[in-house]
Amino acid sequence: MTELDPVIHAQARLRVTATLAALDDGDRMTFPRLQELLGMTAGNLSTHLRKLEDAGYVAITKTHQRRTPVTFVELTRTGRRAFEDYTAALRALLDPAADPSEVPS
Amino acid sequence: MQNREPHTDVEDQPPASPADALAIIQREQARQEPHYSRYFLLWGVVWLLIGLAWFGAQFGYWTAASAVVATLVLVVVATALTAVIGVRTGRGIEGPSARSGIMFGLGWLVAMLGTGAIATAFSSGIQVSAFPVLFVFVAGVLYMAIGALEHSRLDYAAGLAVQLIAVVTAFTPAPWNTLVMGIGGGGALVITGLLHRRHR
Repeated sequence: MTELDPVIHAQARLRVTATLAALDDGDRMTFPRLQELLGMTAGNLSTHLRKLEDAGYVAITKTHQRRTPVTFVELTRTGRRAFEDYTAALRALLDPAADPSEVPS
Repeated sequence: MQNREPHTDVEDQPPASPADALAIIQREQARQEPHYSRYFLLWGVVWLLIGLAWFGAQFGYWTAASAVVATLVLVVVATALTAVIGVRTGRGIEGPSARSGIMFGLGWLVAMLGTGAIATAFSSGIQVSAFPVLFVFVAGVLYMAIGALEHSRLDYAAGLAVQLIAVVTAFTPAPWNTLVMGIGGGGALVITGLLHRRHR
């Protein structure tokens, strides 16, 4: 059976990763906008972002715009690939016939 | 914002099934898709009203000057609303897509101002009632380009329909030309907007 990436395979982190993966390559999102889209508390979102950052899936940049601190979040190349592999694994689980490497049970 | 308790433990749980996980992905990503329907519905209604304003003027219900004022007011208000929707859609996002969004928005402005300038330059040679057709045709070309670049058959078809309506309008005698343009063009955009809404 295909192993599902445990870093992404948790409801909150899957929502974060899917949201960031929908951004175009090279785009990044501010922390408040991400929080608003997901409807998560700042603390909760930070916790999950840290786990994704530790895995190297997410890059967090703290900067200033007109003297106001801004935090940008984006998926790294590794994160984007991990998300693609994860969705491919899900599809293979749902339709084993479509994946020749999978033996239907 | 939803008032949600920070149930880190619950949210740390894996999705119930692979199908559930895919559903979560689809839901989150759909939330981020720009609301294209809003642009189409807004401009469809504006277009319809402009067509009716000119149709009424040709039948003497009101003066042509009133139709000109109505057209200008509608276009200015709709342009401002379009800019607001665009800025709201892209808020909190930085990078290449934000830049291309600005370039795209300015591109429309330049194309429409340019069309207006060309129409004005030739104003002594062509019928005044042919003016809107030029804008409509340029808009159709831009919709078609969006459809091609965004892999959207719906936008591409809308662009083709709008160009066709512009050509048909150009060959339709007054006063029916304004009605064809208003109901045909405005209607095509409203239908496109509704279809976009249904596809979300």
